[in-house]
Amino acid sequence: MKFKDKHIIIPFLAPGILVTLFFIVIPLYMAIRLSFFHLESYISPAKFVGLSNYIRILHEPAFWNALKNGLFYSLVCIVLQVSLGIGFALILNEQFKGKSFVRGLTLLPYILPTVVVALTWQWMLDGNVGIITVLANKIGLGRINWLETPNLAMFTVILVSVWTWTPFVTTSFLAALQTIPLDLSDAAKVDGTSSWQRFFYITLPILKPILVIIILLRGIWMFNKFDIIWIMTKGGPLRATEHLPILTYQKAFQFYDVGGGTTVATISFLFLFAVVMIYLKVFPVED
Amino acid sequence: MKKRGVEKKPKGMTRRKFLKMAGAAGATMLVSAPFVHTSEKITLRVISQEPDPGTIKVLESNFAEWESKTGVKVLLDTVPGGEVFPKLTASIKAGNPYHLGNELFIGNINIMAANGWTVPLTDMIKRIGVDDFGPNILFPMKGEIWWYPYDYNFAHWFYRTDVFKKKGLKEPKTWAEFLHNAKACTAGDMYGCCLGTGNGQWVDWLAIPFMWAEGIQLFDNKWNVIFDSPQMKPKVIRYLNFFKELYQYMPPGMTQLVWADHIKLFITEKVAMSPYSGRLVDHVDRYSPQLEDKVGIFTYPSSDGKRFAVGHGYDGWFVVKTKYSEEAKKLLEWLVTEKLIEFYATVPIHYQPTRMSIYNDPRWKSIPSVKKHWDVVQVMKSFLTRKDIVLDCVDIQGPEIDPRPGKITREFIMPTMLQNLVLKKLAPEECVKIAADSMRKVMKEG
Amino acid sequence: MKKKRKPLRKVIIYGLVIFISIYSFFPMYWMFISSCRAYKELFSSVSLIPGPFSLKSYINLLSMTKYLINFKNSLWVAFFTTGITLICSILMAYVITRYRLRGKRFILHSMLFSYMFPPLLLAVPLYYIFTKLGIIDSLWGLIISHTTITLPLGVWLLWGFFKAMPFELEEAARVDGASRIKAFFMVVLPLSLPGILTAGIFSFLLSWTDYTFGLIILSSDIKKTLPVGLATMLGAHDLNWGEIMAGAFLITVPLLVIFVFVSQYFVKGLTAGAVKG
Repeated sequence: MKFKDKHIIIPFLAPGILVTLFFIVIPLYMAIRLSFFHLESYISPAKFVGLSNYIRILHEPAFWNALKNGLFYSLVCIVLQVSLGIGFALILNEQFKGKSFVRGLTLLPYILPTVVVALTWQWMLDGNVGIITVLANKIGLGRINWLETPNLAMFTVILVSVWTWTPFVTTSFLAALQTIPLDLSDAAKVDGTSSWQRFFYITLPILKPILVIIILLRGIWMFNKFDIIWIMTKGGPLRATEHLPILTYQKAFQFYDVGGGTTVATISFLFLFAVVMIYLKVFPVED
Repeated sequence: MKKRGVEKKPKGMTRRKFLKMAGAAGATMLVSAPFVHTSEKITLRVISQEPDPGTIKVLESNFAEWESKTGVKVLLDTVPGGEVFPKLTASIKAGNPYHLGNELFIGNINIMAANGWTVPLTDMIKRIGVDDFGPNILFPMKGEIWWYPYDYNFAHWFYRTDVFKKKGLKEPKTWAEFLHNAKACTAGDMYGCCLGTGNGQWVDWLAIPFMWAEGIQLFDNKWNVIFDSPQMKPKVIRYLNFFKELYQYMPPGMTQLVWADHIKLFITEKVAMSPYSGRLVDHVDRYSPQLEDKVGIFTYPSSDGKRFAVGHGYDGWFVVKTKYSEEAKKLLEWLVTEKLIEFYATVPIHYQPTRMSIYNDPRWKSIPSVKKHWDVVQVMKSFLTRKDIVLDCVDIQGPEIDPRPGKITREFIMPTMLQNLVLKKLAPEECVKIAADSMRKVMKEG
Repeated sequence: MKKKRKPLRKVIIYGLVIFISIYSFFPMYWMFISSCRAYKELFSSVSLIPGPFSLKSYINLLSMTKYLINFKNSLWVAFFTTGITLICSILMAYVITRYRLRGKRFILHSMLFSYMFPPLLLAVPLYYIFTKLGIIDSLWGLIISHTTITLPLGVWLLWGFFKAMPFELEEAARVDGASRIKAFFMVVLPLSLPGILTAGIFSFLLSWTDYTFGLIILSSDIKKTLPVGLATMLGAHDLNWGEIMAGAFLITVPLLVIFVFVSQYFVKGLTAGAVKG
């Protein structure tokens, strides 16, 4: 079968493999390779420097600050996105009028382009005329300037990220909830169990595989997110929201330390890889 | 099991046909796509940081005219002020440089020149007439002039005369009076004043002139950093304490403020005092005519009322060193001779002319805005020659014109100092020390 | 079996539903109102009711900036990205599910693997390569960059769809004498249209909304796509929030249109990725 159909297999696989090879694999190899060089522009010759980029970067406080920020950002985002997402899914799983309309509505934040989300929230959170600032002031919280102070900026960026990407969790969970056989939960209801017990002892265990994958995917994506933070704060104020992708960008495209930039990106990737491997060992995923 | 005989023919035809179709489709897509360049004519890339839509329109129509005259295509990219430098850097380091551009701050220009990225314009300036230019604007470095400066942008304070009158305030002559005014004006929806503290060169332009009035200098005659010297340090600390107190009377969001946001706060009546140059007047005309006769001007006072300052500001064109430098210079000379008044007319009060002959040019004098605000124009012109006002900026500090003070503005040393003060709440002594050490680092690295 | 619902429970549920709806929808609503509110009121009023109505923001945006050119650029890039992605991933996913190949697991796992790349890890070398090739600041460079993120997703999604599709229909066509390729085009493709549509929609979406690659690869205003153009307009073009919101709204419109008509594919796609594991 395989040999005879080579005329199909090869041409069919070829485009995808070629694209992957030239656009993904080779650039990836080059990125890692560049991290061993010193480059000050994209047109000048590169000087081999071995591991010195790595040594230098690992001694930079900016690197550890970025790693810390990235971890904090992704972990808090995961926790909030998953809890909120499950909560919304449970509510949306109920019967009520206009169910499919509301389900569509909840997906809205997810499909908006990140730039639209960032700009709209910046507008709503504007320190002077933003509607959220004005309302917060009116209900007595005072004039909060959301992107002004280091801690508040991180908090704000997390909030906006949670708003944007929770629908992914909600929709996935909703779909999964609907695969739970009704008679199972009905039987439990007849037995007299409370909603909480039903959730923890029936729903959650069934959904565990999905939960594991969702946490993994969301973790990876939030750790690597560049645009939302960049547009809103550019890593500021005072490096409070600067994480590894932003540090990579700054080194590679603003300070023209191309080797340093690729080093940060490679370290970031290896770190994530290690975490994912550990995670998959603890929570194995069936294919 | 398939029958071999039946399979062979259709298989060959189908695969070849498929590949042919794919190839044809691909080729058609490639050729018809709008982004394929088939022309070989010269294209000049211009980078500009003039954000006014009228200016952009005029530039683009000028470029279209140039193309029809000479066949040279010209493309315009616009970025916010101060970002021409990084954008130019990126384009050079990517092997796709811009050919012509304008940027604010001679500091930026000098860094570019020192890097060898630009060509001198001395011969063009000489042709136009060196003596026609006003004082403190050409800033020759190494015997050459590296830009064509097209405007002075003196930074001073604008204030709401009606608000002052209502609260019985006068134009502040000392920092104490300034604070008093700011406090009195902070009521209801309005705040006293605004001064952006984010990472940008507007800080050096708008927030720092208080220091010049106070007599602060960054260097001595030998390029030693004296910002934290026993003579200067107390003055800087006095300024930082003043700023810290003034900060309470500013609206929230000062770290997010960029350039013309200072104007926006004024014309949306959120602040009573706002620093800027002539663009504020143009914007009042355009967006808030109800404020027209309620705008007054005063200069930056010192703490004791003995001296006054105006922030020096300036924009100019530069030519990048590329294989089309000569073409770019031709275009530039045409823009700044035949098309200059048209350019100025788009934001007339802001584009304060750099050549004295323009002030007498009937075409310029007949621009409606200029006629209307003739008194303001005269005040701004007087700053060129008044001896009682200090005219200074971070990038022209030091005994002679040098690119390194410009680097101080590019490293955002002053904004960081203010952020350390009001965001991190560090003691003024520490803020000064950090700033001075950063300056020394910049000077050492060259 | 009829359950006696406590009225309180129902009230709480409806309350939460309303909260979720407002929570999800409000920012878009506010974006839209702001885009058609007159200049002065934009900065002074926070009324939730639309108005005073003014199209000035849209007019300013479209006349003062290269927004329409950006729109066209985005369209071209998304179109080509989707085309290339679909061709590559349909063919690849088909072969992977229909044949037992040695590298099958490897290919699939490497697709998941490439989810883990920080886009910037690829952006830097791509920029380096494009510079050397002289296609920096070009839309082709952007299309290539986008394909690096849409291809793995496309293969992953279509693998799921093809796997779920029964082999019998194809086999039936082949028994009738059709070649494998003919069976592919005549039977498999039409049947997998929902899957193709889903993968196409996701590819289009990823390309249309990309900001990171656009920011890095493109520099000329005339080449910019919408996300990059809009984000850089704020400081460069003396614009106000009204114009920015107008621009934001216009970027979103095509997405809303797609969403309204094909949201089921969208949901399917999300769940196909997640639920199927």
